Amino acid sequence: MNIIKSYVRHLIKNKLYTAVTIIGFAISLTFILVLSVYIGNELSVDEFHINKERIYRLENESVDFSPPIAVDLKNSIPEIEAFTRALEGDGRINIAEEQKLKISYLGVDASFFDIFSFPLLKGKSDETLQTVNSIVLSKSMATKLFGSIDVVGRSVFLDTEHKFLVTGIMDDFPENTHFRYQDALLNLRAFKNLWGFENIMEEYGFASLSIYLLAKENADLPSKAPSILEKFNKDYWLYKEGWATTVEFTPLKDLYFSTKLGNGTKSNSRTLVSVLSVIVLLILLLAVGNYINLTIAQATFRGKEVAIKKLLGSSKRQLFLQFVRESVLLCLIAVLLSLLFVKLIEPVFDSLLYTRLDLNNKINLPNIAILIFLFALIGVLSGIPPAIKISDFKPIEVVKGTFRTKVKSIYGKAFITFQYIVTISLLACSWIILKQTDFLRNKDLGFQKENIVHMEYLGGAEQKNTIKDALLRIPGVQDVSLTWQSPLTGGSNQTFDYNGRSVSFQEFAVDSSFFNVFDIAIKPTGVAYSKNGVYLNETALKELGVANNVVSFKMGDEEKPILGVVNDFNYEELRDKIEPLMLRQQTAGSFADDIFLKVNGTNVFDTADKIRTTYANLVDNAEFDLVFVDDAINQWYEKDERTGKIIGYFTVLSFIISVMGILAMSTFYIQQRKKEIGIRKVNGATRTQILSLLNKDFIKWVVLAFAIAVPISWYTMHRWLEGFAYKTNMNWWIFALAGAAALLIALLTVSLQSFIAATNNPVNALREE
Amino acid sequence: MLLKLNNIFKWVNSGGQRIFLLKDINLEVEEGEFISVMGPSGSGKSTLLNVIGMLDDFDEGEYNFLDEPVHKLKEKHRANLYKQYIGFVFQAYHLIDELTVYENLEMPLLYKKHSSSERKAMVADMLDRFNIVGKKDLFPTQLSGGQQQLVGVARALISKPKLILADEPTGNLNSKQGEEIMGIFNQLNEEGVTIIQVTHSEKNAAYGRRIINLLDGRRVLT
Repeated sequence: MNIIKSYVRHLIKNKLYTAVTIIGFAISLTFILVLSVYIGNELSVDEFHINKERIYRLENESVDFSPPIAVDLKNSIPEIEAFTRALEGDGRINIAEEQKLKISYLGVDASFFDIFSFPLLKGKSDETLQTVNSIVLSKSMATKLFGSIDVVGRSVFLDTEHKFLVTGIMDDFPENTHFRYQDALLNLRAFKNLWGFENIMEEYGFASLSIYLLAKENADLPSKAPSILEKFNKDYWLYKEGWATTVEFTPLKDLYFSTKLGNGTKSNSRTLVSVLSVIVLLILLLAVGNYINLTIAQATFRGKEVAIKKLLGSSKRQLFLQFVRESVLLCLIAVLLSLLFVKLIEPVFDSLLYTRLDLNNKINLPNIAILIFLFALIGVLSGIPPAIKISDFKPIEVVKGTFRTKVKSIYGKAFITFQYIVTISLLACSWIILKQTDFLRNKDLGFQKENIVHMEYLGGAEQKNTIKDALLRIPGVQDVSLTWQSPLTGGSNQTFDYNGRSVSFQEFAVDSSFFNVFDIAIKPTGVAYSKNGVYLNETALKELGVANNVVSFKMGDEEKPILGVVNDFNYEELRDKIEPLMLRQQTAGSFADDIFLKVNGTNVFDTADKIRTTYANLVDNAEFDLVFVDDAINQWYEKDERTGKIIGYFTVLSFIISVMGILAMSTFYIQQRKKEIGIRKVNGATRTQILSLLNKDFIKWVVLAFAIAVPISWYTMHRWLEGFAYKTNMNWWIFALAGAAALLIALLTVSLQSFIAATNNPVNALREE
Repeated sequence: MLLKLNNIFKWVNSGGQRIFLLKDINLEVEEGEFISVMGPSGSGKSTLLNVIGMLDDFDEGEYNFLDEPVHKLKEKHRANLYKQYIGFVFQAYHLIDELTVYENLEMPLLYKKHSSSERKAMVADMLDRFNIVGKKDLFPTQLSGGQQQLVGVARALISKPKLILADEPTGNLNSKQGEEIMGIFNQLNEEGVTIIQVTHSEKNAAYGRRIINLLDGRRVLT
């Protein structure tokens, strides 16, 4: 008790030290906690499936295959116990006479619930997706539609006319699965009606769905890949024409971190998770190192106490244990504080990393026990170095009055250098990431993206003109274009034979207003107008390998007249180079998916409101989204921007910790040199001379840190930027400014202490002798 | 025989030269003696005291304490020895500022195996004996110099040592306070405690029954 009492009183006497240590530790622990939960979540994705060891996804360079392939494989490979395909779709759903709501769904096979362990709240797995008109709703969707989940047996309508029977209700997909949340599951065969695709199940030419396979117990499915590849190379056009060259069975646990986009999947970058793990470790290191430095620095003031205790009979071991115990106590206080911080910071974190930490669910006995144990461990480990140092003090030196803390200052300074390397690197990196995202967002895409409103087209093919006219009448709307596929969606892929080789184009179907709305210039070829004439971009023309004055080209069996050539514009994320694009024309009966409205730049939001009201009337109040095209495009870079932000926050954190570190160290060293300063002053040194003497020492280390930080951050950013087709410049002044900022803050911190020391009356310093 | 020093030498090497702090010191001390060590500054008085108290080591010679060869003992064993038998009183008191008088007094007992109630009794006794019961919850900074030294002496005594080593115990006190402390030493010596004190003052030295003079690290006659 005695021991705790003296420690607590010591802490109260040195409020600055106590506050800085506890708060600094608490802040660091907060981030470590939060990030650990996040990383733990990310690494446990899809762990809940009972069959997780036996589930694979069939993959080539992408994950797209044709529906009948699944059946073929099941028939020819005994190792396959079951399969389910997955194809995503979206549309509108309603109960008779009620408002139409948006719905996104996944078309799967009846075995879906047998393969994956997604819980069914109502209905049984062998009764839910058997028929072509059965639908399983998610808990949220059922509640939105019906207000309850006791709705098995009720009917719903998809896209107005297709009637479906609710056969089951499933729990909302949890956060930790690679499947994106879906409002409903349908039997794959439903697409026959929904898309009017009568023979979808047998069509090899349609290669856009994912295939999941369940291997039999103890069967080695992946070993079959080579033999399947052989067969595909012989019989499957996707391989015969060279669009796919590999076959692999990817296990379920690798799907979440895969870079391949599947139907209805979400993913996270393994790089991001690794980066965050590294950051967690760095912060831990910084926090612990800071604590050790601070405590050793404070040791001077406790040296006397230690020596006296030794004199009075305490053994080194007892003292050592005392200091370790003090560390653990301090650490636990910091932990309690950090738990409070964590709760406060949870919502910010969720939105930053696009996740749900779900901390409330994590409060259980085992977790709490682990937490306490871990932090006691950290307390012990960070307590050991100062404890060793302090318990080493010799009583004889206190008695003789020659007591000095001969603390090995090299470690302290090396640590400061390390802190600054981290800080400067983080500062430079976050700057560059934000610069790149800014660059991407503002880059000229080759078409006008401002003041264009986008909505999904919900009318039938025959309503196109009516709807277009109604919208054109709204004041503020300058032009309206109806399209199938667009610069926002990247187009539909058309692969065809051309002159003996396979060629791949992306395709849009646009009306005549398209070019005006997006300000895209056409170079007419002079070819006479015809309904099946198309426009090509420059890359497409090059891909065909034809002369500039060509009038038509043969696409498969059809001869397509080329009406004009458009400049290459970016219609996919700026990570990729521009691919060949073909624009064919909307005809009276063709489908349209999107409406784009060019609006007057003034009172944009008023116009948007009017558009919303008018359109809602036109589509019977079905649910729809109205977005601005430039906002939608900015969303593409959202993930990178978020990464930049996260690193930005950690930079700030790192700065805070570094400042605290240098504050403590400078206090300590300047205290040590009090006598020297006194003597110098008495011998004629001015305040400024003393200031520069004290500052010089620390600045050396910051400059060294800068020299090391620059190549590290330059290299890291260089590698990251390589993932983009369009990159911004890494100007030298970014690094210079980062270093200057760090230097400035270091100077200010040290100068504060130096100034106080330099202004002190030298007599006071010398008297203590 | 309480302790015996034989041909003790202690030196430091400074720039190639050897400077002697203690030169061929021979000393025998029986239990119950009251010895004053005198000499000018730099003569080695404090060094001698530190060597006797096992706080410092020496380079040559033998030191036997209660028939134990101190120079041959391990650090832990040595610490046990002085913990058990020796009490220190310093010129600068060396109390722990963050502890109350009571807690400062209790401190040496914590490192021995006493039960909580035993400790309470011993501290109460000590407070009584020195008439500082009313001050037990005060901090050292709230006491006068004389009072602090009183606490220092009390602390040195609380574990009932055989030998008290005092280095200029009245150096920071005025004459009246100094007399009080020396009076206590006298009393203790009559009760059988051996006392070795280092002092500049002739007056204080007179309290002792034997005087040892040092000059430049050696024993001299006057």
